[in-house]
Order: sequence, then structure tokens, then C-alpha cells
Amino acid sequence: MPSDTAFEILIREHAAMLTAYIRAIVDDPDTVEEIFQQATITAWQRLDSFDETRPFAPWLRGIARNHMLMHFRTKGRYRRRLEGLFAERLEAQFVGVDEQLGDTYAERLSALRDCMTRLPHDNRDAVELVYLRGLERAPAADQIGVKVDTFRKRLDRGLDLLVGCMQRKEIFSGDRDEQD
Amino acid sequence: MSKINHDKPNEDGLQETPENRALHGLLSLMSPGEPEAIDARVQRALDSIEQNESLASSRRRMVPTLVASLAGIAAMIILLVVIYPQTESLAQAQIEISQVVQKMQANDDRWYFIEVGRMEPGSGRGLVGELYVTGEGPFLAFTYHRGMPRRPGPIIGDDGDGIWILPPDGQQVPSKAIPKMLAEIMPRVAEGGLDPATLLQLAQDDWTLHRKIINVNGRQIIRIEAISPPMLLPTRFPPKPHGPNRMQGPNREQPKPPIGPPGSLNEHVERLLIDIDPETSEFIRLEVSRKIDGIEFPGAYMLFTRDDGQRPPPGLSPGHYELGPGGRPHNPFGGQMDGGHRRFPPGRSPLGPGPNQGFMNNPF
Repeated sequence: MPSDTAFEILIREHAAMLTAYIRAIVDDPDTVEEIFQQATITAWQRLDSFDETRPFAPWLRGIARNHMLMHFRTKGRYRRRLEGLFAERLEAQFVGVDEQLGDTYAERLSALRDCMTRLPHDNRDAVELVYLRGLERAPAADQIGVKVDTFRKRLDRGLDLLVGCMQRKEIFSGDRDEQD
Repeated sequence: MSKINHDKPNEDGLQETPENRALHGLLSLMSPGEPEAIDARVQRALDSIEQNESLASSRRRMVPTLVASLAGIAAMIILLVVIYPQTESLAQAQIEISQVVQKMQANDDRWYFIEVGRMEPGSGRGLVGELYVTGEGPFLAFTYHRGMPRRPGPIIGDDGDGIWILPPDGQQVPSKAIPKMLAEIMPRVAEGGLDPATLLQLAQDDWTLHRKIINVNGRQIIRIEAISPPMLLPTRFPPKPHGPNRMQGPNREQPKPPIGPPGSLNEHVERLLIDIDPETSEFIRLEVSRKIDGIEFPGAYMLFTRDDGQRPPPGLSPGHYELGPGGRPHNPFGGQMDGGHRRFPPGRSPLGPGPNQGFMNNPF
């Protein structure tokens, strides 16, 4: 059984991944927090059952997913993200990131940063304003002096290009056509 | 907590796919303040576990990762030099350590030449640079790639509020262990040591210790070898299971052979080799290597060379760094460094915080 030292190391190393995974499914920040706490505590409690020869990340995501399934027993939108092909494909994207070389999860996302630098200027601005600056769309659109609809299109296009870029780098799976 | 509205990609009817949702989750890590939020989140979870499982007794001994464990090296060095093998009592050791710490702290405004690299022979990798240490805490290290003074490496500093790392190209946070190792070690070099009680706690962690005097260029040097007890830890740099990373060319160094599946636990034994000048209590050399499941892995090394009297102290102070044209940091090696305002730590850009700043400085 891993020691408590190893567990803390594992949790610290996988905290970013776990956060991203939960946010990929859950939109409410408070619920994200709640699921994270529950998953971490459950992982500790079930550490005896963890196969040390297996990767930790999928095991931890599995625990988080079970908590989300319990949490959203009646919410169809979230259930759809947690079940069937959708859930499998979502897991595949995270496995792709898991397999990247890197000392930390941040380093494993270096390809995503690279993809961002390759975005057309307008699209990159939109993505950065929303995800890096945390702006709502209306104030973000106002900040760069465009209509909200225009901003929305730029953001959506930017996200779409990022997915395509990650697929071309073979980090995200899928059979997307080349886009840029 | 991030202020991002994480529902955005879906709220306007963007086609919801697993790829879009995964991207949404990953992008959410890049918001400013997210690393701190994650740390707080983990801490809350650990605190909950601690309350439920009585983890308290062992938490202080948790040293996260090899790199993080390096943070205690400087402390251990002083501890080992002073009290090993003649430790008599905790109280006596604390007194002796405190004296050494005072001696080192009294020596302000230091300039070092540093060399950092991997230990693989002929790899040609590594950084060299200059380290400025001012007072007890702040430091500033300029680095450049060995043999390529116009190809700058990361700039690493501690302005008193925290450690920051500025990437050389302004496009991504350094992704390798060396800058992080620098960041972990530099403050300790600058401070001259850690709290003695912390040092003693580290030394009591069952490391096997050897100490001897060696002769290096006519100088008597204390060499300390410290070997950790076997620890089950997640393996670093797991290679992709289906072959080498395509980003690496055929002549590039390839990933190490797989020890286990990525992220699996393996038995790690860490080895530290430390040279220290007994006259000045200063570091001269530090090497780190490890065995993973019995396989020896070369580690990183770091050399420090103090240049007494040959260069004036830079006179750096917390929050004040030399700026070149256009608000760029001054490169002491003569070349203009690229990246412009993006190279400044959060809140220090003369242009003020901009949309890129969180991205550039958030390691996620």
C-alpha cells in the first residue's frame, strides 16, 4: 500500500488534472469543489484497492466520475456527459494528456499552450479574455470593441481550432479534419 | 477561486462534444490564481483526511517529489556539516546550526557563477548563468544555454513575495525540472539555511549519510553523500507507451526506458552528493541522482562558483530589477533578451497586467 507520503504526492500531482476533469463535466464551481473533496477523500479511503502497477490518474477519475454519477442522479445533461460513448471519449482526451511527457500536469499541457499561440489573433484574444481573464462575454466583447455575437463566434471558432490542434498533435483523439 | 464562468462554452449552443468539454476543463486551469486555488483545494482535502484518519503525525515528513525534496538540501547540508557525525543533542545541534546560519546571512550581496545540467555524459545540455543574492532572501538568476550566451534561459527570481520564473521566449513557462530545481534551491542558498528544527526533522528521516573530506584543486572540501530510504513514489517523465515522443528528433535524447505505466508507483532511492567549502560554508557542487526499481538514473548537477571581489555586487533589491529598452530585463551577458513585457512577473510589467500575463505566469 502506498504510504501517506505517496498519497499526498499523488494527490498534489493529480489535483490539476482532477480539477480539469470535474470541470469538463460540471459547470457549477461549488459542485466542482464538492466533488473534488469527495473524490480525494474516497481515494484515500480506498487506497488499499489501488493497483500500484496501474496509473493513478484513471483510477482517480473513475472515483470522481462515480461521485458525479451519484450527485447527478436526476440531471440529464450531466448524466449524458458521464455515461456511454461521451464519457469514454472524454476519458480518452484526458488519457492523451496523461501520456504527455512532463514533470507536472502543467508541463503536459505545453502543447495546448503552443496551440494557443497558433490561434489567429482575434480568436486567441477571445479565448484569453474568457479563460485567462475570466470575463463574461459581454464585457469581453466590449473590451475589444465588437458585438457580443461577433465575440461569441470568435470564441467558438477559437475553441474549435484548439480542439483540432490538439487532435493533430495526437493528444486529443478523434478524426477531425485539419482546420488551420 | 477562479472567477471564470465555467459554463461558457455551452451557454450559446456551441456543439457539446467530449473534446470541447475536455478542452474547457483544461483551459480553466490557465486562469490567474488557479495554482493557488488548486493548492488550497488539495489542502482542504488533506485536512479533511487528516481529521478523519489522524494523519497529522506523518504530514510534516511528507516531502513532495524529488524536486521538492531538494528544498531541504541546503538545510541538510548545514545540518550535516555542523552536527554530523558528532551530533550530541538536539539543543546543541540547534545552537551550532544557528551559528552557521548567522555566519552565512551576514555575508550579503553575493555573486555566483552557476552551472546546471544533466549528468548524462556528452549530452551538452544544461544552463549556465549568474546568480545574484542580496541579503537573506531575494535573489535573481540569469541563465543561458551552455555555449550559447545569446540564447537565454529562464530568469529566476525571488522578489521577497515569492519565487517566479520567466521563460526565455515569453511563450511558455519552463517545462523542465532544472528551472524548478533552481527555484527550489536558490532561496536556500540565499538564506543560508532553514529553520534548525526543520533541518533536524529532515535529518531524522532515515537517510544513510556518508561524510568525507576530499581535495579539489588544493582545497579541502567536505563531501556528503545522502541516500534516502526506499520510497514508493510516482515515476517521473513516463515515456509514451507507443514510442518516442514525435516532437523529439532522431538525434535527440530519448525518454528513459519505461519503469512502469505512466503515473504508477515505483521504488525510488534518491542520492544526493554535496560538496561544501568548510571555510565559507558555501555550496560548491550539488548532484542529484536516483534509482527507480533498481535502475540507476543520472540526475542533475549544480555547480556554484563564487567570484570574490572580481565583480561588484549588483545592488539588487526586492522588486527592483534592471530594465532594458522597452521595459525588457537587462541581460548581463550582453544580448538583448526577447519577450518584452511578457517576461515580467505578475504585476511587475511596466505595461500593467494584460490579457497574456496570467497565461504567461500561470504554470497551468
